[in-house]
Amino acid sequence: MKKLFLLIILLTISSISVYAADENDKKICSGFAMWKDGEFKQVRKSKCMTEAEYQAYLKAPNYLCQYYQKSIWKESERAYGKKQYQYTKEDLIKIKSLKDQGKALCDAGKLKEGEAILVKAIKIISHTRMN
Amino acid sequence: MKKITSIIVASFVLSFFSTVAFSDENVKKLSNFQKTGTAPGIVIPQDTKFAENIKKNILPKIKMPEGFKISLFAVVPDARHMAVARNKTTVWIGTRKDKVWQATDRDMDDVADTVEQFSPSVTFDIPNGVCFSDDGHLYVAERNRVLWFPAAEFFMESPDTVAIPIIDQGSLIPPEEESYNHTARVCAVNKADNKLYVSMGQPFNVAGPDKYPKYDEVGIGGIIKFNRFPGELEREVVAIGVRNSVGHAFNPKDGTLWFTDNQVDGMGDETPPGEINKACKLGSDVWYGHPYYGGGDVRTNEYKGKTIPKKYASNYCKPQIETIAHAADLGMMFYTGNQFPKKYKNAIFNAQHGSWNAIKPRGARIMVTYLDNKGNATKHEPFAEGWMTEMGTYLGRPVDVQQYFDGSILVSDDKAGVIYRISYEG
Repeated sequence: MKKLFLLIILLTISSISVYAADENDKKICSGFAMWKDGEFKQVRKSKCMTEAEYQAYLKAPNYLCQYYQKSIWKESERAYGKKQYQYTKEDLIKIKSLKDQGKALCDAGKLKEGEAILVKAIKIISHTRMN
Repeated sequence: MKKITSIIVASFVLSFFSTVAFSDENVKKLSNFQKTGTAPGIVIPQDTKFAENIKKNILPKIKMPEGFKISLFAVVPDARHMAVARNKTTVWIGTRKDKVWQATDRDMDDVADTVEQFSPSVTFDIPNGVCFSDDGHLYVAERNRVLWFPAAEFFMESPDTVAIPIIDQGSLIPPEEESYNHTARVCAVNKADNKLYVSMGQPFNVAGPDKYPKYDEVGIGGIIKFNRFPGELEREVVAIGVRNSVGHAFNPKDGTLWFTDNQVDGMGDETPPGEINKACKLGSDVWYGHPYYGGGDVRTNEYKGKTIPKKYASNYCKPQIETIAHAADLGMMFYTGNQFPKKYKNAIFNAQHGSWNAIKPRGARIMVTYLDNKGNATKHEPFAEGWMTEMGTYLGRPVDVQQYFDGSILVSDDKAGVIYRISYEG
């Protein structure tokens, strides 16, 4: 009876590990495609990472430093993002300057200080009316 | 060169304003039961290679519980929110552009035979919100106007359908607060007070403190209600602190107002959560968290550390469901039909549009939320998914869910530009 019980436990542990391994290997992809002339066409090639890599990205100490920088770029530098807001020239200069300052602090390992400066840039974006 | 530029700019401005004026003139004529002389509107062909590709490339990929079937109902460009008519098999579909469509199943085979431009004599401006009352009236909530079509069901074939502004152009919100983003309105009639309810997103990621109390007074970043027939408007704010709700419905069992709310960007890939809310009560003091909360109980970076004013904190109504971050929960409905299995009776179906604002793509599916006997949310799970490929590209992006005559549900998709019908065959 004890042996059977042990076997069940071992089987359960191994199936959980297999499931966890499968989950970790699961691919996460992001790309862009659209319907054009009745056909589905890929516009931007997909970039992929595994679930494990994604989790590592989320848990990295510099995650917020990276995320905020990307977010600022997307909303205030990338052409499409920039078009979405009613920025003044001064707003954009200020946002860029804060982003650069924040990046420098993040790169120097001063993560919390860097994040705080980047958040200041995000606040300007957040409080700018959208088009 | 300067002269030419000035002429071009002047003609553009002139043509823009004359279009607006012409449109207003048409609405005036339509309000007075007069003809405008407008030619018939655009007709969207249904029997096309595109329709065949949708059937071939999307429908087989949609996963649903056993016994459910998905089919193509109509090809409708930019399809957003939907309103289903009472007597005829017509569905009106709003867009975030300048057209409202009508899809009609004329031979009763559950597939639209014609999709035509509705009321082409009216120039619409982001006519996203369409809703149809039990007593047969169609309403169109635009960016900054609400129109009433008292006879849409019967005169929809004509380019001239009587149209009467319930809220005039420029009076839904102050024109200086107009934006393109966050102005997709939705509307619904509350049977309890017979009024029309319109959700109004606020035009920022996070609105600054200088915007309050003005926004709370107008109902920007909130929900308003008003009389749905001409006369005294009796406009009232029934919810504040809403960031950008693009879906609401009344629970037919207890009359409560439920709404989805899209939450703050720029805080992280997996935060803050989206929301499905149940109004604690209807009132201009009932607060749903914005701008102090970014979604759920996550404080926004913009207001972190700031004390939440007492008038908000003491009237805070928490969400019923926290949905995954950036999934963009949009249109919703309560299922009242008899076609689906019993467990779906009075459950909420809602569309997750999906967002670009996260590395890991998400959404692009239909969710179902079950309620307990007290009318509170219990379980929230995917119902239909598969609009996203393994390579992270959206085949389609569901926007709204509405119940069709026979108890099946219709799902609009503004990426593919189609409407699907989901039925239960057992």
